[in-house]
Amino acid sequence: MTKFGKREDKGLIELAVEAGLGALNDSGQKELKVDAVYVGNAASGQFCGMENLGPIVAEQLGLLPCEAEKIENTTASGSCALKEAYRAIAGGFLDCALVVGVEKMTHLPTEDVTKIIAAAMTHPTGETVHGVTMPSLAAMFSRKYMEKFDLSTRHLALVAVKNHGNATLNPYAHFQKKITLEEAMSSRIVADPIRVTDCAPISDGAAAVLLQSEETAPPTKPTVMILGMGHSTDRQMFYQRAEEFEITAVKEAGLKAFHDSGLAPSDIDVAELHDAFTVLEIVESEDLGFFPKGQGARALEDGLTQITGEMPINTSGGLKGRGHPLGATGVAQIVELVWQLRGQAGQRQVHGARRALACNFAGLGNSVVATVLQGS
Amino acid sequence: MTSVVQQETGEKRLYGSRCSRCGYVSFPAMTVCPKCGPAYSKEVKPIELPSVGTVITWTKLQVAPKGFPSPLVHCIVDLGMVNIIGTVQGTSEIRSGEKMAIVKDPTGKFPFIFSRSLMETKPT
Repeated sequence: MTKFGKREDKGLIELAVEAGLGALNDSGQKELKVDAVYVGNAASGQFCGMENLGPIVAEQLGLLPCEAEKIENTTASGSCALKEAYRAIAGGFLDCALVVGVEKMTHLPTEDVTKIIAAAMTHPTGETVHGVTMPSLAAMFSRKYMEKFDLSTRHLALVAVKNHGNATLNPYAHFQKKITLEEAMSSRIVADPIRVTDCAPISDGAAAVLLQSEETAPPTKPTVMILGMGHSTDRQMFYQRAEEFEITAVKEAGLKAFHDSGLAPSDIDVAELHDAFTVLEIVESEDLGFFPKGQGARALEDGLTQITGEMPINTSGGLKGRGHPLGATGVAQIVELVWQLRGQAGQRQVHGARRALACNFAGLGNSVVATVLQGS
Repeated sequence: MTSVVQQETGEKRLYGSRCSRCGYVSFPAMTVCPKCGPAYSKEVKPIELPSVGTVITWTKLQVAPKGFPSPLVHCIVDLGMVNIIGTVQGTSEIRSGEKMAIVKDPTGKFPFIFSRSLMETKPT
């Protein structure tokens, strides 16, 4: 993957090519035939005035005449691109596919980026017309959740402090600076009770993984297997969903991924969760079954989600610390977990990590993809 | 038809959809009932929504998206049959549990806005 952050040095396609080449070279196979290139991207048309990323990236990587297409599902675009590759290979249609997630956003003013994201992720006639943005939805969700489970803004800040800390151990992360609890709790308010340190940043970047069928993968490299993937969708407007205090699509996607992999939450050694807003990491840690409902904040406070804890979450820094180039995020989660499962995560290595879970979603959990991985 | 304005009070009546099979109400109106699914789309009819509801949660968004005034107070209001989102006039703090009326936006910027003032002049 590329370094995430403000990448004035590279354009959208250059970032995708850098990440794609990285994954191809990592496989170490000189005569590799790539059957398909799936590019996960949320809004290149609006951010960069550019579409057709699949064929462009495939051509730039010298992989023609492979299949090539762009896959869009807002902030879940990366994991949806992975899902297409996984299904195509597992179904026997392809042997090898390259999955690239990419976004370039930082060249635009924040108010333009906010507007593009709001248009992409809020309900067009129910929310967008009221000036609703992702931070306003996350703030209203946070307030309700905090009242119900007696969470304070300190709990939200603890997520930010942890993930910023982890990011300093990740050379690819957007943020390379630790923050203190006091800094987090006194940072600028974006939408009460959410502060700027509760929001993932606007980032540029790309990430890529190469998927191969079990039969054609070379035995030369420590490989990582996808054991299961689940994808579930819920109502757009979170306050019209059947369950008020859970993200049901997270639960459903997780259950499907666990079912397919024959594993349980307790089998997972490390997880990358979708912390676009700090509260979400806590909610997902409960809805995926790592902690009982209402106990996620306590687990965080007790250090269970630290790299050295019982259930390490977002060792990469998460969306909060690694950065959040929308379409790249779902793939970057997988890259981090592959490094963890191969024992290549350096200072942030979870000792003996063998099984991992990624949870990547669109909006406030209206479309969620969960992936269970196993190391060799 | 999505809304009607009462000229005297500024009160705005919103229209959603209701599934006559299960009673589920949607706003904005939907063609299909989210609970009963596409096989029962003929059961879905327009319904006038209540004009007053209760605040469930709210926030003050400090920087609104391009084209909207900042700050912007958003709240989610429970109308009894469906929860809807909108903005509140002015920028003062509000409370969960507070009553809000749906009124016409005098600026024409928003499809409707929530207001306390109508509540003060009109018994609930």
